[in-house]
Amino acid sequence: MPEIWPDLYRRWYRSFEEDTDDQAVYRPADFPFPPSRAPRPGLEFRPGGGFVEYAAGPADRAAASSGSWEPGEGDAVRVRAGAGTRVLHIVAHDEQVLRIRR
Amino acid sequence: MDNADIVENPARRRCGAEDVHRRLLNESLNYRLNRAAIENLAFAYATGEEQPGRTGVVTIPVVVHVVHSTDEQNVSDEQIDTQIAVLNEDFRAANADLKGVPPVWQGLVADARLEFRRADTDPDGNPTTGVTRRRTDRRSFSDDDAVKFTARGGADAWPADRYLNLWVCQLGGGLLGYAQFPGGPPATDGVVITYTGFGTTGTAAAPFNLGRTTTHEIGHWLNLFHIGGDDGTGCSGTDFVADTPNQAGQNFGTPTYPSITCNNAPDGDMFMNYMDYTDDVAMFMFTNGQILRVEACLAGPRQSLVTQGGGH
Repeated sequence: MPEIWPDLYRRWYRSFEEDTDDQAVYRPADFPFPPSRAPRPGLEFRPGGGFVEYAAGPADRAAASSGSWEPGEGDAVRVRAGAGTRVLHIVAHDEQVLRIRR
Repeated sequence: MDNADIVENPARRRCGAEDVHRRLLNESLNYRLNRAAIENLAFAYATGEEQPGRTGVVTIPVVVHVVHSTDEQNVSDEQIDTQIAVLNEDFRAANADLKGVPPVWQGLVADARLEFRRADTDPDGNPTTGVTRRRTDRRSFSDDDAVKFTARGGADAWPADRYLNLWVCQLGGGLLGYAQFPGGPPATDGVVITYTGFGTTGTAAAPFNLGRTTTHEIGHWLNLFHIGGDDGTGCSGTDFVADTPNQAGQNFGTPTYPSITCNNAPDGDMFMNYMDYTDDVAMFMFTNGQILRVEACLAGPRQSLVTQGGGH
């Protein structure tokens, strides 16, 4: 299972401008994102297994889908939110950045 | 939770969770019922079954809650007044940039006959500037409504049936603003704008320094949807307005006319509509169909603002 540090437990906003071919990049709320009318999609890991996925909503706020996460093999984390289950591969994370394999 | 916990503190933990659960269920059910009634009324206006009966201009009292963690975020009364001035142009179709509407849509431009002013009487009947200010420890707020509650580092709403509540703060995640549609809980009713996207002077920063974020969010507060239809980039979503062309997703920046999507040639997307996502300089109109929805909103869920109005 991946090493899960407490700094993972926050809401992460997709910083798609920083994405690479093989990594999706996420940043915390206070990262100096360019301002946008559209809410950034994101995700949130909570201690105890809670997981929230955020997508753009109709009133310019994110629509949240609650679910759960659990550690998998290697760098894998299995998450469930909304209708589906998927596996995220966490390449790296600290207080400033979360990188997930694309 | 183990047995010791249950013996020690059972009722409080269980009742607390139960209360929250029931409150959410009730709010959700109420919200669904409210939304159905609101959309039924909007449909009646759209089909002509109901007609707007309002003859004059309505002035909406506004309370601006400035929630700041730095001196810079504590926007001045003067900056607030630049925002009010923009609203009083945009909701009266009195904005100079209306001339940029393509000729084919000039006939659709609508005057919402709404004006805004800072409230002069607070909920207790005392004189007020219509501005509340609060220093907070929170460096930024998300879109989770915390800014709307004193207990969460923000500022409590004034009664939503008498005032438009407008919060100005540092929003996180790069978000410019967000709104609540009519029919939701009064304690969170209103719009939230980040301090760099508010008004036209001071902290307002290009390309969102013409006050249009607040125009857009108040559009939602008056029951307008995005003209792109909120279905991602698909062509099947709708804003329930007949005279805004069907278009795919939202537009960004400053597009060039015509911008064709969803087989909407030759005129293309109405990206200069306030309910698109373009830059402040590129959005400058509401349509007749949109203002029919606003009329339905003012005859329905926001009727009290028309008939009583805080501060009068």
